[in-house]
Amino acid sequence: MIESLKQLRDQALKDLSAVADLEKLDELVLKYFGRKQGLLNSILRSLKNLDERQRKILGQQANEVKIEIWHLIDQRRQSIKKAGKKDFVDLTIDGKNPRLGHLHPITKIRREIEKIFREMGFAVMLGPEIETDYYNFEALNMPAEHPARDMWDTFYIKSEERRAEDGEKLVLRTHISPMQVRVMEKLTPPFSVISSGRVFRHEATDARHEHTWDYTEGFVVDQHVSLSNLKTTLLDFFKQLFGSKTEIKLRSSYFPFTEPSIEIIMGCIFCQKTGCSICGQTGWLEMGGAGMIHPTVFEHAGYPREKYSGFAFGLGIGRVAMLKYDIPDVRLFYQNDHRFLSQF
Amino acid sequence: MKFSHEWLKDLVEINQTPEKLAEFLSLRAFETEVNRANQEFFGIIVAKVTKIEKHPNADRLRIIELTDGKNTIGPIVCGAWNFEVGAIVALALPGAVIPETKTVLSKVMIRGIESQGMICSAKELSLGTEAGGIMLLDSKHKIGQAFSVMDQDRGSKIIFDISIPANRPDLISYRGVAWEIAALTGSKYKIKPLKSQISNLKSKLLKIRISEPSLCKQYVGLRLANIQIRPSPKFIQDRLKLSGFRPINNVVDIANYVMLEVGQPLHAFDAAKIIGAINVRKAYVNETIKTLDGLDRKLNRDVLVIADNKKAIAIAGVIGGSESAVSIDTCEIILEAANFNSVSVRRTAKALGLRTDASTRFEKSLPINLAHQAAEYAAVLLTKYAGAKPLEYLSVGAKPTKKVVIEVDPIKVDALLGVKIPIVEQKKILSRFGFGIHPTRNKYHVTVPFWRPDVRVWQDLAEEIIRFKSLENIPVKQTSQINSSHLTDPRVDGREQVKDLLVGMGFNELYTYSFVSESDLNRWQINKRNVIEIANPLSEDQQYLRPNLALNVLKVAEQNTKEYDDIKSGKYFEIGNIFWREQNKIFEQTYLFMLSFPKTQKRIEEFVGDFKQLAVVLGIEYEIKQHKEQLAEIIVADKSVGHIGTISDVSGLEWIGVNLDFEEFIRNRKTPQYKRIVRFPSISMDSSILISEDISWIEIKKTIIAANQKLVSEIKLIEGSYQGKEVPPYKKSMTFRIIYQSEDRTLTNAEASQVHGQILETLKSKFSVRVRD
Repeated sequence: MIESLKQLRDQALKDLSAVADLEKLDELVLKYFGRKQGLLNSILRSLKNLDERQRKILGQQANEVKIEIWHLIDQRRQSIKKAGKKDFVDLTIDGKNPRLGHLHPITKIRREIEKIFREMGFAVMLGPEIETDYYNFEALNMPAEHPARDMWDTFYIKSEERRAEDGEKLVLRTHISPMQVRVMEKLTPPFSVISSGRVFRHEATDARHEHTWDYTEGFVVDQHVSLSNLKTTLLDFFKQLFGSKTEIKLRSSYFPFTEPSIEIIMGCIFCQKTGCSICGQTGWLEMGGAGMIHPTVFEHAGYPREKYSGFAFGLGIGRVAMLKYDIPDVRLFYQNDHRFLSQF
Repeated sequence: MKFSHEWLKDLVEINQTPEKLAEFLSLRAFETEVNRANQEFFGIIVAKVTKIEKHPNADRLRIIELTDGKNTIGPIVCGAWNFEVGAIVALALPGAVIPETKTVLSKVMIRGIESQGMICSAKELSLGTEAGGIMLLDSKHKIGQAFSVMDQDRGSKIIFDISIPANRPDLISYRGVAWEIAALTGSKYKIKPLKSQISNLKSKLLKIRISEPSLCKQYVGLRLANIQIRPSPKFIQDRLKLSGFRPINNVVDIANYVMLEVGQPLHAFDAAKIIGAINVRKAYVNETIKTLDGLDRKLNRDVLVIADNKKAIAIAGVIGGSESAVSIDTCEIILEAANFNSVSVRRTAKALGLRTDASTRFEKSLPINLAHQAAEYAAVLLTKYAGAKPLEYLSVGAKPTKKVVIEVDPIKVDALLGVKIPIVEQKKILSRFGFGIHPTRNKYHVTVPFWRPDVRVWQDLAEEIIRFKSLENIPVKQTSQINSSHLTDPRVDGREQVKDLLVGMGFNELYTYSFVSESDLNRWQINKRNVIEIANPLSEDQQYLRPNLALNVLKVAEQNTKEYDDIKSGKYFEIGNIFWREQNKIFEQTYLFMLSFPKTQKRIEEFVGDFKQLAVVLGIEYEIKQHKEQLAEIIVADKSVGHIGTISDVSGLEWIGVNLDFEEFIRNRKTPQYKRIVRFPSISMDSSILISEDISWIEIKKTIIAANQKLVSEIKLIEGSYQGKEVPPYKKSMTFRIIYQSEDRTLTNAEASQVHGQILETLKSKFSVRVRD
């Protein structure tokens, strides 16, 4: 019985390959599936003479063969039909919506930044967005009423919600710099750390101002870290980020928690330093702040005096994204317009 | 702050062009921009008006056509009426930088007509304050050329716009900036100390009492008679104007002039209006004063005032009172040069919402020595330009504090900067800035001059040295060779992997704000007691910190579907921090929120599948516990880490989402452990069952596994919840496949069928299931 099934299948395959037109194919259908003379049906009919166990096993196999042949006939029919036409595939169609989603541009740029620093050996760490007044200001050499606090317009957490344990004032962190002391408290130098995340500024929003920014800050602490190390690191970083022709300059600046303090400016990538509307005709773009960590910060971290030195730098991820992707308005980042997100 | 080039040149030798000097200062000291009347304008051309028509949709606007000599330019929509056909104007074309706002001009639709540019007013060109009409040009301007201003009086109109660092009170003065320029460029500082005219004067009528010595360290009073109030000389007026001050009269102008040059705020009282002694005291509760800006202000105990025997006559360090102000009738004045506490002035100015030129200077903590110096200089100018005769002088308060001395190890300076600078050179540079140098063995001591309160540690001096040498001279050698990679927070890579996986599944990543509004909370019935409030929100929309990610993500979904008709579905996610409080404690945690819409059976299946795949790839085992019709708990390591469920809004919108404590979730990642691959063939069997609609799949699945743990190797749900015509009400049809496999032998069909039959029996008896054929 099994033998004859097998033979039938082989015969069917042979027949099929010989068929070249639809008429012949219909004859073939009749030959195998005809209600009365059909070869398959007659095999199925003969099953009833077998005992139940055999019938079940053979029945299943017969069925499988039946389905297989049916499929093959169907395929053949399609190919015969097509053979008469030009097999034109329209490749100019719009295509179905791809299934992939989109990473937010801030994530993409943050990854680019972090990748470069990770390759330089930096560890990536995370810190809280609600910060104590101590870490956000005091430990960074800005005691209460220090005029430099005005450099960061600050959101405060409503006072009855102060942390119970110490009754300390809480703020939304205005920069990632609190991570310096948080990390120093935990680790003994040497280390190099980068930390990214949200910072908040009490500032009305327009095309150039946002109350919410994503920032990256990095810092290195060891026994003999120098301004030269900082400059070299930054130059290396910006060249990797914007291309090997990138130029940077350091400009004297002021931050309470670094000494000396510098501002990083980069040759405008749009006009090759000839002056354009993006760099305000100056040929240079402000990229972020940096400097050598102030001894008071080490003191707050509980490090022995004069033992360590280090550098720190910060830059806005949105700022880099705006330059890289030519985004004119900061508000686009947090509006999440579908037509914006799907571009990245 | 604005500094006139011409005034600075009076104080210090300047041997560079203003632009070169600005660039030099920007790199070494403070950001400096040059504003000059004959600046270049970007994208602004000279054009001639050729045609004017009324705007069809606006009465106040006109449609202008111009020519640049070759082409016609227009239409330009213009609101100014001070010109006619033939006028020569400054025309900003799209892409131009508007000097006033420093913004880039683009084409805009104005009442239905797209304006191809803008005809500029003097204000828009930063050439004046006139904003009512456009700036009309004379025939010297050639049509079609780039617009520029030709000014004969070029030299006197150059202004440096300087951003003064917060730690440098000395630079909020012409003399301070001049000194800095002299120190950095090596040029000559021209100011010589004045020969004192006033210290010898005695006081008779002038009496000063400082009741709050901690808030007012010093008070210098000078009584001058024979005052002739009149306009101040032209050079004073010009210099004030260029520095952003409005000239008033000679006395007020000289007070401002001295403040600008020396950095010490001064105040002139009309001596006739002061009764008795001057007293520096705290205001009384509910004491009032009418200030120079014409407002009646109510004071409290936190405010420091200057008072006479009767009442407050000025708010210390912030603003004077109007009653004691100098007027046209004034013939005798008392000039105040005082040193007020920076914190107190800062608080008062903040509380009054009034930041003045005086208060911004006091806030930076001024040195005591300035008061006398300023009074001395003012006396000279008042004598010369107001006919004044100094009568009495009185200085009350502390002596200047002891000088700060810092020990410097030159080797440490070299190490910090990463460049070797010989000790001789270090000392030479510092003395240029006015630091006193005292050599010791291998080191040196530095005395800090009184005007540099920002210098307190040797690192500050290292900064002065490298500023002078220029940061350009810092060599590029090598990056730090520290490897901390192993210290990376494990949450970071987990987070990034999740983002990649979700994007691969078609989810778009969102970054929504961390703020929510009260109405957001009400809309979702969230108890405000557990939500953290911002003490100083920017607006009502941003009064609270988000207690979950859902609120803002749902808003984005709504907005995107509302605004764009073709977006009817979407998949979004956000990973971000949420905030809440319990009792008095504040919590912050990273959460993951995933969203898919609209809520259809197909999408629900896909969504649940996405989440499952996510967990599988991450190596996180979880369990779903469904207690409610539309909501189930996600359990990881016996702990609830979040929820999966449907969300419906009052507006009728429906979504499916997952809300997850991301930190807890990702912490439970397990490294996959290889399981031996079973080589014996498997047999799969499908069944469809009719079952009550409220029985969840997980229960059925558990029952199947429990029925035969040995042979059931996998269970797949093929159709989760079919409720077609042939399915009775309150029932659903489920189709599943069980794959049977033995670890140690080939399973026979019969064996599998038997087990499958048993399992169906178990389901029948436990859930009163009907097996469909």
